[in-house]
Amino acid sequence: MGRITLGLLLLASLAYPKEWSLHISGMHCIACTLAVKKALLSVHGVQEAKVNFKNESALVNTEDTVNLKMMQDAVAQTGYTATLATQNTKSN
Amino acid sequence: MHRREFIKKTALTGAICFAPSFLTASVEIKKTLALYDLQWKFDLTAHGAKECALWVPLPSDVSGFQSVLQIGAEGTAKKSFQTTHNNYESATFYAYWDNNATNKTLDLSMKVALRDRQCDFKRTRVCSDSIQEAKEFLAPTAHIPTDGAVAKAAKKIVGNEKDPLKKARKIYNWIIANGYRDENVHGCGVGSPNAMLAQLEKDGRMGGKCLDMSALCVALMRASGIPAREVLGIRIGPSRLSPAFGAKEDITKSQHCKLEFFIPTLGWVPCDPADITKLVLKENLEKTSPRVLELADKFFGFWENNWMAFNHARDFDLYPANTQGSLDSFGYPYAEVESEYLDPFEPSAYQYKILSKKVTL
Repeated sequence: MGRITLGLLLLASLAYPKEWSLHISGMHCIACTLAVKKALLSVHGVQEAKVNFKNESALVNTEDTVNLKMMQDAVAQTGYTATLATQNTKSN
Repeated sequence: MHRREFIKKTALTGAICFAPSFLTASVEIKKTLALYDLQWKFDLTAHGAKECALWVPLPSDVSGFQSVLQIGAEGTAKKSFQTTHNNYESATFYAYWDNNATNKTLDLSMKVALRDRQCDFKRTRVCSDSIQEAKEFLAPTAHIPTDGAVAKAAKKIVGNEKDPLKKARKIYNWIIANGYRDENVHGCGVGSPNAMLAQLEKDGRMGGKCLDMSALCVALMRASGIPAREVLGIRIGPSRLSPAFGAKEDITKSQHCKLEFFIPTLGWVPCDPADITKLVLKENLEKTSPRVLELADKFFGFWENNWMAFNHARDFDLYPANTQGSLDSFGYPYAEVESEYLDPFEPSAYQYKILSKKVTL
């Protein structure tokens, strides 16, 4: 039973991945994008993160288990600030 | 930094400033040309079916110091060309591969001739156009502030001095006296004057690498009314003066930033305070040792002919435009893979090698 539940949870997280659009402040050069990307990818469940210095933004694809605070905390540890721009649930 | 500490550091600065001039006699100036063959090899094939774009800083002629004799390119890029179409007219090689390219390689070859650049401190004629053009390098940029902490520090260092050359020397000496080379810094550093000054305020000294030291020196000079600019480049051969200033054949990681400042009666004057801090570390010397004093005196007005200049661009837009926006400096090749910045210090994602060979004329 436990295995079935786990399996269903896994399927649910794959079926409903989230796409986040974050605003990143505090980046002072293009190399800062690397630190922000690394911080975002360190969050368990973040699948992909694309950071842009010019637009001060990050597009992040995550599993359903990831919430905004988890990403904000990780980004804050590197000295930058992440706030929500938009969040979409992808339709597969 | 406390007032007493500032005075102590300034006293050391004085020791450097008044080093006996005979000490410089042992550093011979090479008037002959040194000729180098350089090979740059890039391979972005590991990025598979992804769109890649690459901008490579190229050397260009520097009067009395550097002549670019030849630049050649071979590779698989769909589009590639040389350009100087940017704010600072920085010579750039651009290459683009679309996502169909399975093999993404670029080989650049160049031949460059260099001679020692020694400022003639007796020269008195500089054309008025040059004086006018130099004024552009008084202005702040995004990463070179001239107000706030920088202005405050500049005022303290320069004091009541009015002569621009003496002001420049005071700033140069102050950088050496207060700076130390921090080997933990990535690449050439980030070149943030405010970060350096904040560190000095906190720790009583400031660590960094060549871009950090040069950027702070430039910011302090600009804040003191002296046009100044960092010059990004690369060491391409062994030094006659110290192994600390030289490079072997593989120069992939030999990028180095120097600077120059403008005096209306002398023109652009080369200098390099960062390499003095490197000398102190690499040769385990005291800053007051005769060798450090000699070379600190020498490097105020001198570039050796084993280092090749790329450009003096800071906070500028590449051409063709990249996706990430303005570059803060352009001493390393810059690449984007599907619009994302590629870490030049991560060799597994970004394979490139730069080789240099000294040849005979």
